[in-house]
Amino acid sequence: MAFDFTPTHLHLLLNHFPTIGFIIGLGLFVIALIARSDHIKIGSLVVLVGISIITIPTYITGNAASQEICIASNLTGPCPDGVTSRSLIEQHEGAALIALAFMVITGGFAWLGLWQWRRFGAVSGWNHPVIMMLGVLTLAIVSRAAALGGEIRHPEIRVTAETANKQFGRVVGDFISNTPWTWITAETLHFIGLTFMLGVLTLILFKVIGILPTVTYDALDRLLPWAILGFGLNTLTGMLFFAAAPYQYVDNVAFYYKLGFILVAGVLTLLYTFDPSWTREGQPASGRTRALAGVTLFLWVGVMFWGSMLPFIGNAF
Amino acid sequence: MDSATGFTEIALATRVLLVVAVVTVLFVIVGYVIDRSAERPTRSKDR
Repeated sequence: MAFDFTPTHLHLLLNHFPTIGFIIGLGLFVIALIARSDHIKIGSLVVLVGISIITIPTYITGNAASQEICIASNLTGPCPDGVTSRSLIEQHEGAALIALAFMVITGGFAWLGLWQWRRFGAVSGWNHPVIMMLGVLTLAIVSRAAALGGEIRHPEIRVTAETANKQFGRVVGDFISNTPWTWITAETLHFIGLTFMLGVLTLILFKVIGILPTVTYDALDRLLPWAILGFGLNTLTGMLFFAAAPYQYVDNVAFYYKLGFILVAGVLTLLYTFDPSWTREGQPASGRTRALAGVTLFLWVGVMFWGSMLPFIGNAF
Repeated sequence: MDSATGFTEIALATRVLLVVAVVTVLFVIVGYVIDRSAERPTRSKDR
C-alpha cells in the first residue's frame, strides 16, 4: 500500500496539540500554584514552551491543507467540492495567526521562567501572573481557532456564519504583500533577530566545543534571553512573510528543510541550555556534549542555508 | 534616477528605518529589563 505523507497529514496529526497540550500545560501550572510545587511548575513550563514550538508547524501546514482542499483550485470563488467553506478556512487562518502570536509570547515567558529557575533556583514573582493572564487569553484564542478548524470539514457541527468580509490572516497578508515598505521592514527585523539569536548561540556552542575558554559560562548564560528574544522576533516576522504569500512556501522544499532544521536545532538548544553539565566552569565538556554542540551549530548554519536557498531551490519570490 | 523616483525611494527608506528603529528600541528595552533581572542577588555575607 502506497503512503504519501504530505503536509496535510502533518496538519491533521498536529492540530490537536496546541489546544489539548496547552490545556495540560496551563492546568499543571494552576495545580503547581495551588500545591506550591516547584517540580510541577517546572513541568508545566516545559509543556508550555514545547506546545508553543509545535504551534509553528501546525500553523504552517494549515495553509498546505487548505491548498489541498480548496484554495489552489480556485483563488476567489467557492471550494470545488461544494461542502468545504472558503470563508471558514479564512476565519480559521485568521484566528490561528493570532493564536500563534500569543503562543509565541506565552512560550517566551514560560522559557524565561525556566531560565530564571535554573539561574536563581526560583521563578520571579511577576512571571506567574503574566503567564497566567497570557495563558488564559491564549487558551481562549487557540480554542476559537480549533473550533473554526473543526467546522471546515464537519458541516454537522457548523455554527459559524459565512461572511464576505476579509479575515485577519488575509488583511495582514495583503498588507505585507501590497505595501511597499512592509516586506523590507520585516526582512530587516528578521535579520536583526537572527543576529541576536545566532550571535549568542554560536558563542555558547563555541564555548562548549572548547574554542572560547576564557569567556565564562555565567556571562554567556546571561546573554541567553537576548537569543530567545531574537528567536521570538524571527518567528513573528517569519509568520508575516508566510501570511503574505503562503502558497509560495507550502510547495517549497527548501522551506520545509528550513522549518525542520529550526525545530530540531531549537529543541537541541533548549535541551542544551537546561542541561547543567554545560555550565561547569573550568571543566571541559564531555566528548558527547561537544559532538552535540557541533551538530546543533551545523543545524543553525543549515537554517540560514535553507533560508537563503528559498528562491533558488524552491523557486520562492 | 530622476528626482521623483529618488524622492519615492528616500520616503520608502525613511519609513523602513523609522519602523525598524521603533521595533528595535522596544526589543532592546525588553532585553535590558530582562538583563537587569539577571543580576544574581547579592547575599548578605558577600557585602
